[in-house]
Amino acid sequence: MAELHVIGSIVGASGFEGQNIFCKWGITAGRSWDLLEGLDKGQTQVDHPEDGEIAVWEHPLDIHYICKGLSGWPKLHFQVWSQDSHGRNDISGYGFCHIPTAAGVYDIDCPTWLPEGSLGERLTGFFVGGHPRLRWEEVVHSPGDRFRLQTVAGGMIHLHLGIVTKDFERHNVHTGS
Amino acid sequence: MDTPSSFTVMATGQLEAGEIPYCDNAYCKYQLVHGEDWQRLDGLEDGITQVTRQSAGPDKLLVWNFPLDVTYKSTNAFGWPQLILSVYGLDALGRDVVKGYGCIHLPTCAGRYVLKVRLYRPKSASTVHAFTSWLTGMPAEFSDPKFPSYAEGREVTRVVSNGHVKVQINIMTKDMEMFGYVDGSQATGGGSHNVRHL
Repeated sequence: MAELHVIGSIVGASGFEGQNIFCKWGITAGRSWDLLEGLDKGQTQVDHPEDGEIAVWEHPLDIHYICKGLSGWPKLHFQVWSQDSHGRNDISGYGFCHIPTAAGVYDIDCPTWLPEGSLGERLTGFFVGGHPRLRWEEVVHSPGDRFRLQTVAGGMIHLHLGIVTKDFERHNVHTGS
Repeated sequence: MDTPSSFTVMATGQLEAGEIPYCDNAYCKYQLVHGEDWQRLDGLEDGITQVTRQSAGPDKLLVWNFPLDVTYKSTNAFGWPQLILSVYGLDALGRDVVKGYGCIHLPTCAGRYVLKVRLYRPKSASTVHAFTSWLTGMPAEFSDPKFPSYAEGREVTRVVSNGHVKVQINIMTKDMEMFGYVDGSQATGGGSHNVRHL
């Protein structure tokens, strides 16, 4: 049984419209992975950055996994939301990234995208507000069933992750670190 | 040699400088927090820097050059130490006014790092509170100074980000391999100059 520590933070995001943005995050892993300690999902604070600056979340991550097999290496997935002056939340981006497999310290930029919807939906979105959302959010981190989606680019999420592995070498697994 | 009962992590470095718009006089408070399996062996876990005035140069730095030196032992990487910073400015009446909070984990991989800790401060919870804090010149503060290190309960918090602090940290580890841990320092050759550019 090998163990994986993910220690770091969701630093923030840049390139999103909207002034007040926050992020809902989670980790999914395969069936041979178990969460020992720490939180595998959460929601960041709402930041109101100065114009042109990145939004700061500095959301600490400290996650301890134990694994019996390598398949289903954990991945982080994100939903970025923006909050308007009336307190209404609207989706601004979906994205995911794999946890690096090699131990070390990483700065990771995770790109995001947004479903565009039909012309009618876009018109409603323009006048009333509210973007189309995904009905099946697993699409964000699974490869199947994406080909019918029309999407548009969103902003970038910035992560700072420290990866510490335990006992992988003892089981002859080389992570390249 | 006996098998060690714990591994050791040593962090040395300095709170180098702050760069905060609309703030020309400030001090920085630091505090280190860690998980249950961790124990401090040596060094100070909290401290307060001097009050510094902005440099006259074009970079407008608030230089603290304040030493950090702490050693921990642990048996579990979970609960890796976090460095919490809170920066306070002094107003015309000599009162401490919060300028920003920030928090990072100490790097998990041995080497030298120059980290940029971005600062943010909470927004007032209500309009009335926002008005009184504007009137008195005292912005909202976190009631729990350790709040920046928590992963839970952040969804109800609204903040304004402003400025950053530059922190230099050297990390040294001992006996982590004995516990089966790999921190990745072999791959980067250790001593790598990791700079956070964000």
